Amino acid sequence: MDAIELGIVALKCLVIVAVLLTGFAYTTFLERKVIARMQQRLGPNRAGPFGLLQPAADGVKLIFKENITPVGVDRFVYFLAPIVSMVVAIMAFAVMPVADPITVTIGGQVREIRFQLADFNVALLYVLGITSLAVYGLVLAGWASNNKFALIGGLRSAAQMVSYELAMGVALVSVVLVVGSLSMNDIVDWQVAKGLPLIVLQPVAFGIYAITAIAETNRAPFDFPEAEQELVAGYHTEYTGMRFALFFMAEYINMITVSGLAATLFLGGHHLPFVERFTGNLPWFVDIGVFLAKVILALFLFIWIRATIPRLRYDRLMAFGWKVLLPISLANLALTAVVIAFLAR
Amino acid sequence: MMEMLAFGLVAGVAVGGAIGVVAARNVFVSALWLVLSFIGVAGIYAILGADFLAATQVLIYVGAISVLILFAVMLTHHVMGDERSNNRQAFLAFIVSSSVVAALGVLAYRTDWPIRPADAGGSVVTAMRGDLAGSSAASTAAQTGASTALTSTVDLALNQDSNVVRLGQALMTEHLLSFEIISLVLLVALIGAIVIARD
Amino acid sequence: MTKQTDVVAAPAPADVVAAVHKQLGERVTVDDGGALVVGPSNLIDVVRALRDDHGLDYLANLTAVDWLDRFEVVYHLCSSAGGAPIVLKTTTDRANPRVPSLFGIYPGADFQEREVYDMFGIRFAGHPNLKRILMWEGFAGWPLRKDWREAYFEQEHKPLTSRWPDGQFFFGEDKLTDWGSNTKLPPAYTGAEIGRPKPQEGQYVVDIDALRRGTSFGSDRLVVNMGPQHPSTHGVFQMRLVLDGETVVDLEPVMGYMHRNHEKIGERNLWLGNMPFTDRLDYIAQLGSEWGYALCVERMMGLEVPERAEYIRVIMAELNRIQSHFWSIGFLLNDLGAFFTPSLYAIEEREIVLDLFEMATGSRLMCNYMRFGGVAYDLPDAFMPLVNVLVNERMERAIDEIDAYLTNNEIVMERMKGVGVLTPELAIAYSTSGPVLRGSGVAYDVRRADPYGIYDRFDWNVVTANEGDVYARYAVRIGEMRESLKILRQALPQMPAGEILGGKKAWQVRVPAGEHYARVENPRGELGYYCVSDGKANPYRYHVRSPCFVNLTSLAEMCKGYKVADVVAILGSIDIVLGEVDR
Repeated sequence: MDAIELGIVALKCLVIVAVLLTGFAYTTFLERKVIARMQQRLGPNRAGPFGLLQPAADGVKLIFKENITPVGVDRFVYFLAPIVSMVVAIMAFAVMPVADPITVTIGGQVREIRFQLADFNVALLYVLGITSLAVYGLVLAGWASNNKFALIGGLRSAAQMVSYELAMGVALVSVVLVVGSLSMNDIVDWQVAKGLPLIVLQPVAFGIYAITAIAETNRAPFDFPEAEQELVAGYHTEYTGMRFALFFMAEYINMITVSGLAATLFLGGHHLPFVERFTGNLPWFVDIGVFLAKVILALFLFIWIRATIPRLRYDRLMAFGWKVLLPISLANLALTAVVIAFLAR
Repeated sequence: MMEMLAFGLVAGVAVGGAIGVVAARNVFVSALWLVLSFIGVAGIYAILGADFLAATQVLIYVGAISVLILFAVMLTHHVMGDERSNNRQAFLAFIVSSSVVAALGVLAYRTDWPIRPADAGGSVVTAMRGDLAGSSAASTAAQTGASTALTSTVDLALNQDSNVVRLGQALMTEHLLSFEIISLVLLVALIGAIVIARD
Repeated sequence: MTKQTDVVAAPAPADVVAAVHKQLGERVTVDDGGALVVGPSNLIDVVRALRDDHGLDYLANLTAVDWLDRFEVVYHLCSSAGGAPIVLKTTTDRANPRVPSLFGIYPGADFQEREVYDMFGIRFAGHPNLKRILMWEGFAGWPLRKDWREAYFEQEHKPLTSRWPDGQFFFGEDKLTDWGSNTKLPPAYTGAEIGRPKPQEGQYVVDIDALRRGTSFGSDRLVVNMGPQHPSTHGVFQMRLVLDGETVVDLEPVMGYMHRNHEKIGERNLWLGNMPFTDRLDYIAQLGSEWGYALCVERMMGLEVPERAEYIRVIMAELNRIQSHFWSIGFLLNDLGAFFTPSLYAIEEREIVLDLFEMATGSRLMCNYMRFGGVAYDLPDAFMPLVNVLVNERMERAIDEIDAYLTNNEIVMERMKGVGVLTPELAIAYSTSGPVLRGSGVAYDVRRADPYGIYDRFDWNVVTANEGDVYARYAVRIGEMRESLKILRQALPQMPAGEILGGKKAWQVRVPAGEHYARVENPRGELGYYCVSDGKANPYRYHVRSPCFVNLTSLAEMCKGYKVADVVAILGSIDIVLGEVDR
């Protein structure tokens, strides 16, 4: 690994963080605009043209707000929790391929640049593992805040994450069974090679993934850890200013990550599997556009659901996870295995 | 050199976390140290090239089991209190844990670790890669041969570097009995949970 | 699901009083106003007989009057089958006021007795939890006693001098009322006791440790203070929850954060001066509140209301009911966790209704529209075409839309069905009213049970649902909006021309000595006004029987055993307005 390669990796890291943070800011903007339209309102429209500078204004406001540390908190853990949330949220994006690799010549040396920080064989497991860490931010915040609402929020997030991760994992295993690899690039390539996105082959897995992804990111109607009507703000009740903003960012970046994962695993990633049969492989910048479009579509779904559906009750959600989603995903897995074994014969 | 450094770091995290578990005054904090220790162990797996094991270690031990431990701790009394956990069994615990350490140490010492000479830019660590999955160098070859049929039927487009395939094969062939026994243990735990929940 | 029932007419109160007098003989007497008077020692027996033998199963109102030489506790009892209430009175001496509690007979007496204790210091023997409810523990003095002097307003010397340079400014009321001189602070009142709770005899103390000791299986109980700063308590209202995991083991409503001693101020105001003040009670259903007060005073004065004014009142009250129910359904959905979309759709029509209110009365919320004997202004010319369009075209569509989106929505049903169940017997016993009572299958609507205005002229039904859960209350509200629309459709074409105010316009009325309890069906339930006049320019006693306040009595009963999330939904289904709860 020479200096240039190191530089490229560092650059990639920077780009990912910058893009994710911008993405976060404009996801909140998109959410406010879309929900406003769905509610017969206009949404933010004062800062900049069409209110486009609103996220910047929000950011400045949050940065300059006072960080209040309540009495009786466990200071270190209280401080750690938002950081854990944020770090974990950004880390998960590292294995996401957003375009085909390109070759460039730097300093007389031909190099391949991948639009992906790292790809390794167990990339999918890595994403699952990292997203499963996201719960720590919530649990730590809930415990350290010395607030009963926060504590209940933390408890809820712990129980919810554990229940929903299982169904999600099993649903994704059926995808892995079909493709035969845990690597993101392999999964995308497989879809391109076969010419059809996995959502066609694994609709049940996609449905389960969609539901559990909403639960994983604590979005409505599964936003129990921060259920406003019951728990005020749940785990981040006692957080203000930038610390609160970190939780907020983590939530939206997680949304982007699970949307990207859905695009990669089920929708053909940065390719258009069916279309590319006729057009041939598309250039890298089109790839990025395709990926972005898929992510925004998924984000729109997130927002749409939030605007329309009331929250379920926590215990019913748990029962749903264990009694409906898990059996269905297990059945789907078994069926997939049988079909694959049968076809291979 | 880099690998030694990295190993030192993660081993330090694992051991430091373990010490923290025992030394922390608050149960919740103990559980947090345990998480750190698990992460350290996952790091050791990663250094050994067992990326699958590392990922599952994080996914299961850190992401699920520790969360459940924290969940249980948070449901109990005086979560925020600075109360020492019940240490009346400290002496007993010491005896048990030291005998476990002794047994493991003896085992580790007596085992004939199949260290292959460094080849293809590898090191001791690379040499150990395959063995973690396949348990012994001798059996690896036989195994690969024996299970090519299986591999071909499932049409695995896997990178041959990956130890996922070999791990799966090992579980399904050589270690089938232990694999089934483990699933039995899980079943028992599941039934126990249902019984408690129904009460 | 919902059904429409007609209520059977019940015997007139005078007959009941006569029958009771005959049965109980010596123990009760009948006073000039036709009220039963009973001594405190006989109270329990008499009330039990009234409930069991005479069908008076519903305690409509409970309050007290300070007659300077004695306290008079006043009960208004009626039958859940309908009919005007009978009045039951008992007196107790002022030095050591003590009356047996009716808690064992009517659990609905719980909060009302606590309120009387809080305001008058009358002890109710046998009440399980007799402590202050609107004022804070440790407050010195009993605010509704005539000798209690309100800080600033009733002090002899104002802490602030007049804004007028020569200090000669005075209010017209100052000359007519004698509140400047008829009150004095209790000798013990120094203000030092404020904020320092003093455990008193019979005071209920929550044994938090006992509640914390959880079940055998280990998880600890958690005491959570939901509110007063909480997004879903609909204002500054607090619920003290004892939780086992997420299950509610016990709940205690804590209120009074917005208490402004409405009744004390009302007793200082002139009779008409209370009219705008009633708007501040239930500010979502302002015109209904005004109507109740106007009705009470009109009956005491014996005023006739002109035909046109009656129609205007019905139209206003029914528009008010529809917009209030829209509001409550929208916010019930918000309480279920919907992100404002249902509520914003629901209050779309409310905006139009409020605009119409502004057109007719000059104000959207604080209308100040009713007068004794009619209404203040005639409707402007542009009003009728607009209200016709609204009633005949828009409203129906809006209700259908809400109905179509919500009534069969799986999540809505999942969250509301079987939650917060209140059986009909309990609903009556707890003196609930409005959609809470009708959602439990009791067809009790004051408009039908004890008709007022001109409701007997219209063809409409009392909407009930039998399940008694949150969903039933929601369904009753949807049904009631449709019935209100039906009334409006009949009332609008029939509207006669003519006078809008009987008698002459006067800012000062003389109300003959006497007392009356008048009640109207407000969107939230039975809103009652109990006024006592001694012939002076201001009410001697002015009591508001707030439906939200009394409905909250049943909150704990409804919530036990359900989850935290359900508590919010149940509270939303009671649909409280804190302005009226705390008064």
